[in-house]
Amino acid sequence: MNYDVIVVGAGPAGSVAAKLCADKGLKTLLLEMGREPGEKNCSGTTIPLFNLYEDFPWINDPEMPITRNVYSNTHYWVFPDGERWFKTEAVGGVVTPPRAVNVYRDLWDPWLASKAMDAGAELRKSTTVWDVIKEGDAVCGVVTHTGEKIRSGVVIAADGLNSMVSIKAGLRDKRRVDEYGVCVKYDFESTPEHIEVAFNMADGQVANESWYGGTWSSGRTGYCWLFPNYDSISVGLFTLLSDLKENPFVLMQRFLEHPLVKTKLKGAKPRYYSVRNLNSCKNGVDKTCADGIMAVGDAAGFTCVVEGCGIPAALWSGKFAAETAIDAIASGDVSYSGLKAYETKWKNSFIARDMAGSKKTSDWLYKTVGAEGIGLFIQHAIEGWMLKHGWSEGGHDDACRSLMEDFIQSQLPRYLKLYGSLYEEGV
Amino acid sequence: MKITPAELREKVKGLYEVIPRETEVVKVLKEECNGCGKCADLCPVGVYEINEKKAEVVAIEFCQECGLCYHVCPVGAITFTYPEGGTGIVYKWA
Repeated sequence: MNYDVIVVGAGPAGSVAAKLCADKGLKTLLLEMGREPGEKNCSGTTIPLFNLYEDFPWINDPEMPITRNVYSNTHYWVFPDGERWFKTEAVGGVVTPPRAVNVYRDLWDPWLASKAMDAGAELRKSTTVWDVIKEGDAVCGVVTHTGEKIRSGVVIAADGLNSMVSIKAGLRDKRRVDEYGVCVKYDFESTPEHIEVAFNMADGQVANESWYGGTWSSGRTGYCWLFPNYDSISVGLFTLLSDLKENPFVLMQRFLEHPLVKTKLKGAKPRYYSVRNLNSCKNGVDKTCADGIMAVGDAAGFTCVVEGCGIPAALWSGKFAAETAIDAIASGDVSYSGLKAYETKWKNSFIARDMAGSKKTSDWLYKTVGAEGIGLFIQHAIEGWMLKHGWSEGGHDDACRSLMEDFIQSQLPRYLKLYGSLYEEGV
Repeated sequence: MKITPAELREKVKGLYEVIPRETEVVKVLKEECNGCGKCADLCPVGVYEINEKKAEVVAIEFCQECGLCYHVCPVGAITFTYPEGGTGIVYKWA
């Protein structure tokens, strides 16, 4: 055997798993298909900090490359005519540490991977995994794009939403079309001075923005975002693939034409265009572990559609997989029975509750922003997040609790008022 | 607003970098393709065009490896794979 653990993919899930395995002295190999970690990753990009520093104290590092501290998220609801719109102001004020940070993944991911290397993990770059080595049904290593076979006790698949490792290992089939969403994103070059005014800077922190509805949504609620960096603005659009009638690029151009969006992007110029994918959580996840293998992060299909973010689930599932691998290798049982503790860990965590809440949220993403869409949003917010799924004291639950507290205190009355007025208007 | 794949490529040209790949990251299985055109209509970077009622990869150098075509194809006529290491789409300010 060459390694105790091979982690495929140096994104947030993979780097956390590799770092924690290496911390316990396991011989750990981290494989990355990019020339550097992060160069093939693309997201919004916001990292929520709720409970992050408590569970991952080593992430609380002044060297973390961030582009803005974020104190809140402002929601814009735009009616299907594209003209009338409604805004719920950012609430909660500035806290320290901030609720979230915006980052560039091509800087943040290498920083996170360096933590795994500092702990003793070996990072091999420019290496794609195309297959796994199997003995009977058990996974016992990987095959790289050069045909090299590398053996290990445990393989952790952290190779993204299109994970080839989890398919080759038999954890899942190709995703169904209704499980798949696509994001298109521009990076607009701007100036710090413009950004600080346009995104309501307070005490050095800014507010992210989410935009729902409008003429860009192809008849659905969908959403767009404007996330400010230091001197650029991340402008994204998320849409589900099922029944998608128009090219996401065209939808994005319509969003950019909205008068208010134009003022936010005044003087800014697009310097980058990217396309990436997101799980809709429509059908839950298939298997996440089997003999010799566990899947984490996007590779497992973990996402919180409520927050539009997969990073908390990636970080914590990486942690759960590492803890499980450490115990399984110590006890000499890396079969499914030795690794199934991983399933128990994530099913008892915020990840499972996020997935359940997200399944409901994806229903209203299909609706227009009229009465029905907002009505479903309110119903699912309350039923889905509060009553049915419950809240524990830890992890990402705190993020959703905080969102809901803000929502109930300040936003819900306004949504209800809007909901009522929409019914009167017969929209 | 409707946009052709060629017009789309013109709009996004120069806004990202793709390191040349040997691997065919997406491929059309001609005998399976029913010519519905979803891949050509929806690919956000204009990789596909429909020629003689079959989808064709006409601009693989634009592909960002997102997998939209692979998932949206109703008859499973498109294959998808990650490229060999150190090649393909790379992002800056992402």
